[in-house]
Amino acid sequence: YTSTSTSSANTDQTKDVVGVPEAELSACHLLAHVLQLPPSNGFSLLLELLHHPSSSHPLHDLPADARLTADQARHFQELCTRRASTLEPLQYLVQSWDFYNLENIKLRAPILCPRPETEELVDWVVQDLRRELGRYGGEEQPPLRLLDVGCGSGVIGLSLAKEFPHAEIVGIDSSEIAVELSTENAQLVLNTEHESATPRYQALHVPASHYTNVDANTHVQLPTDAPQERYRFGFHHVIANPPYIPPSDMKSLSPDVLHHEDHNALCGGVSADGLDIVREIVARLPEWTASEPQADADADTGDGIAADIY
Amino acid sequence: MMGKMYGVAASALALLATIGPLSVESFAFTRNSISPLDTTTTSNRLSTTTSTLSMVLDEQMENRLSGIRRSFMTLTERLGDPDVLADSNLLMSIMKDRSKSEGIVTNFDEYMGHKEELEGATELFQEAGDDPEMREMARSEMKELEQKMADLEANLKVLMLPKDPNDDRNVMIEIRAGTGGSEANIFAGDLLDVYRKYITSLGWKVSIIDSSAGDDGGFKNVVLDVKGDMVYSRFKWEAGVHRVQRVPATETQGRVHTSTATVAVMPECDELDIKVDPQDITMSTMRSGGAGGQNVNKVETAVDLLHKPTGIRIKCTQERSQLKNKDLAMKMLMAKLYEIEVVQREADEREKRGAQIGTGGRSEKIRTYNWKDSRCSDHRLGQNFPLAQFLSADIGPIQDAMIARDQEESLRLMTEEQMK
Repeated sequence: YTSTSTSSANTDQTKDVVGVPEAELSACHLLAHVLQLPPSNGFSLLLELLHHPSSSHPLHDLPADARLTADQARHFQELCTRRASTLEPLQYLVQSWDFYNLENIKLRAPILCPRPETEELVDWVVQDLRRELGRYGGEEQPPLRLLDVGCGSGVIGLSLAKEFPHAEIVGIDSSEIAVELSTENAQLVLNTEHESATPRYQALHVPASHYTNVDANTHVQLPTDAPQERYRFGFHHVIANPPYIPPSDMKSLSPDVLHHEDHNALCGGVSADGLDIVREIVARLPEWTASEPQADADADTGDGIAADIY
Repeated sequence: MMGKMYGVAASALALLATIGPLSVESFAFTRNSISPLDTTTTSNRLSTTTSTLSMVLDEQMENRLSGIRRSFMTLTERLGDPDVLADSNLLMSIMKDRSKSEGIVTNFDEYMGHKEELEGATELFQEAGDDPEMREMARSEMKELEQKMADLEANLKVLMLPKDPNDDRNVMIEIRAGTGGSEANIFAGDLLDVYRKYITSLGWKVSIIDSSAGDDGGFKNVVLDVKGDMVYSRFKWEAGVHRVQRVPATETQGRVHTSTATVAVMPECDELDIKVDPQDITMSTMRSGGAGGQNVNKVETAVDLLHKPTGIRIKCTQERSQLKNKDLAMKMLMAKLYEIEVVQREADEREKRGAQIGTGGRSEKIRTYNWKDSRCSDHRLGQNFPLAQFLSADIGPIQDAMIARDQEESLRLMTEEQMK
């Protein structure tokens, strides 16, 4: 590996000059990707090697002086250049990442790269749901319908789908790319299941404000026999990592975020407090969590919201 | 002529041969009065020895075994219950419990079978009267049965020994360089290589959870996660201080150095085994201070965990997911805390029973590896093995020897206790 660590060291130096954040980690992730090391922790093996060039290689019986092939070297160079020049996020360069209980989730620009804080959010929801469902003991699990608002790559909904095999998940997003991406990820995560006619995960291209059966003109619930399609709600829980950054803060975001990730997934709207989207969500909550269609906006029991807001 | 024979039938035979037919009932000895007999003596010595193996299981033991058999049959019946068959978790737990007693029940059934046959053969022997051919046939059958019963009883004794409850668990292994600087680090790496080979040879799975490499090679410390069958039962014998005597790779003048590395073997545990109060922990991540959330997209997922009461500090950096790093760090912490408990409990046990050997506490020197003499000495066994054997990861025999010693000692202690 002498040659590979040298090449990554060289890249590091270049990166430091340009001011790439997390230069070493970046180099390690990119090189691990090029060498097709195990995605979850391949990068850390390289990091060890970088810091301790003469250490024995813990797990991979690759020869110590393995060299990059010409193709690999070229690929690595290309990725490093993209990272260094435009600060393209690693997740887009590697095109997948891990999240909570999901491995190798597909990611691509401009869909928001999942953050560690969102893992914590999912964990809270999981603990809550486990407590709730725990009351049923070993008997038949009650149905569980969950809504992921602004699903993006789908990680929130899908990690919950994986954790609770009987849950039905709907993800909505205003971005068509997000709907496509989360559907692809759903197939990756859930494809081992015996799917009945209706899949457990469904992504819909509709913003929160329009995810309603209330007619925009008459402000009345569409009748059950209306010619337009009506949504089926009845969600037990609504989970969201909505955009919440105030518009004035947008320009001070770090360049890798600002220049590559979807602003609509970041900026919370035109209001100064950045909470427009959050307000839209809250307004729709009663309708989403009602067990039966209701003309008035009474919040039914069983609604729960966990929102990632700082 | 036939070596030592034990117990009732032996003395009965010896007496019958010289005195004449006597009913067996007059020789109902209990365990404590049985002793290994020389077939040349015709008197029964009532002394006790430390290696008693009575042929007749005493009533108490037989009752215990019957009880175990009854429970086994109940469990077997339950396996046919449709309610049980529908619940896979329950099914698995019943199967597991049942399999624990299976060996005992099989042996016991065989034993009882032979016991009946022995009664039959003994009757035959008595009825044979003066017919030497019949007497001889019956006698040889009795001898055969007695030997079989003796073997089964020996098996049963071992099967009934109190088992280490951690034996079937997976483990975390920590190899930490001790005294000796770079050479100790390299030696820690050598131990890692041996253990990895051993693990792979058994078809077990290993992954590195944490490691801190040495500057000149090897590791300051490395933590492995090992999953397989009855892993703890074998690896527990590796715990302790390993000492190496050789000329280090870094040594320029050919002098022999002595260095050490410590191996800690931690059975995997869960919240049932060890409770960690969340208040006792501070967990810091790269994001703990400063802006987080959607504003930044950093990939540093390192987690730093401090257990305040013990000062144990664990850093976990290796996974892409921060939550995975947190989980791993917690897993390591719980394993360490549990191991401290296990070692303490064992040390207390050993002291109480005056036992000689046990699984090594962290400071017990268990082996020395000498390169010049090509030998690996296990100080607990007082035995040497070829160094090449150890380095090629053929360490099974060493562990077998430790297990045999442990069983011997447990048997001895168990018998002593029953003599009281």
